[in-house]
Amino acid sequence: MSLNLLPSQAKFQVEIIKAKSLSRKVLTIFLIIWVILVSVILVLKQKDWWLKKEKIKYEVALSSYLQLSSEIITSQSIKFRAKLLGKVLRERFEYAQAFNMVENIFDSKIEIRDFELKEKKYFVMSVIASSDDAMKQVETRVAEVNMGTEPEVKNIVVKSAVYTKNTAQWLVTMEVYLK
Amino acid sequence: MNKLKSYLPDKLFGKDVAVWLVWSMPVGVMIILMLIFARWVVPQIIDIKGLFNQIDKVVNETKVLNEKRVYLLSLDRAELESKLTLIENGVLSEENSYLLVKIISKIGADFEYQVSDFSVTLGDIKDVAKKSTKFEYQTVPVDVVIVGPKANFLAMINAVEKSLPVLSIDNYSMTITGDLATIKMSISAYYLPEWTQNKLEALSLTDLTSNNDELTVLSKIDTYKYYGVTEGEIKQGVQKFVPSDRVDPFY
Repeated sequence: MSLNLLPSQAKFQVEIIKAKSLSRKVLTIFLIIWVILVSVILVLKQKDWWLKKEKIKYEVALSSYLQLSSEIITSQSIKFRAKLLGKVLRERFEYAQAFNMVENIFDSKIEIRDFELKEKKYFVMSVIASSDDAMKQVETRVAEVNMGTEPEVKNIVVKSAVYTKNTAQWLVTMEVYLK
Repeated sequence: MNKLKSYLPDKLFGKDVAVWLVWSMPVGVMIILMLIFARWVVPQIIDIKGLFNQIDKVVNETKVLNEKRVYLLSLDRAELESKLTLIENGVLSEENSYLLVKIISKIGADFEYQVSDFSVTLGDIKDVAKKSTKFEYQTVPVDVVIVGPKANFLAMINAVEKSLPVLSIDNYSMTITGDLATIKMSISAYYLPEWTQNKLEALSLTDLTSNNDELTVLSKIDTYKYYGVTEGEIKQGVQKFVPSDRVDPFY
């Protein structure tokens, strides 16, 4: 246990001295931190040289890249044309395939006379059946196709059947709908 | 200071005011330094952050450029050229309907078909700008009537659909008389202007790389037959306009 026997004036002076010492320490620490922060920022602010250095590297890379401009143009020309052709090939209707299908519906006794594509997957055709047997075959095939025997053909609608006595031929006009 | 003391109480929080006043100078200095920091140093920190971002951006762009360069260097020049030739054969070399008629007659000739009639409507060439596909192209249409042996019509249509330049049949009608087939067709071919872009560096590596769709198209059209038409053959179809010298066309 210690006894503080100093007179009150002396105690006051000691308190003032302690406060001054503490405030000086605090201010010093604060100043040191402040100076360090500002110095770091000033150093970082001088990093322009780094940006300049990276920009030079970029320019060098860019010029080497642009030296290959003919390759770039060629690859882009291929790409854009391929894109266009891909779109055309995807969207166009393959007529040859459809005709092949139609030809296979009837056998060689039945002759295709006219063929007109009205819309995609819808066409009108006229066939000639040169005998009653051939005509029966047309009727049978139409009925079979409408029952779903041809995987690519949805249905056939016979629009007209005209018999010409002089030639003894049937002219059958029909609408064909593909799937 | 003594004047200031006269306005203050003797004690504050149990301590003499004089003790508190010792702190006035350091606190004042600290406030001034903090104000300087906020006013001058903080904007510098923002600038430095921007500078670092810029450096990062340049470094990344350099990296991407180098990757693209390496990719382009890895391409086989000869293969690229052969692909270009193939794909260029797939579209019309110019937006000229007569060229298309010549191509159709060439295809027809292989199957003993002859173009008996054709019509080209001026202004029919359509500019198609597709936002979704990000490229513009022209459709070059022509209406043709071709006559030839009935037996070859399917092979002829097949050839039209498997020819280069790639053709689309938009409309088709056929009449058979005896052994002759008369086919009326509306056919379109396509023309794509030369690819141009000012900023080649703006292309990404994905833009430069071939994708599967393109390779599929290339391998598909590789099986097609090319019906090339020379410049001389095109000019044959175009007759020079000769103005009439008649003053009154009714006499």
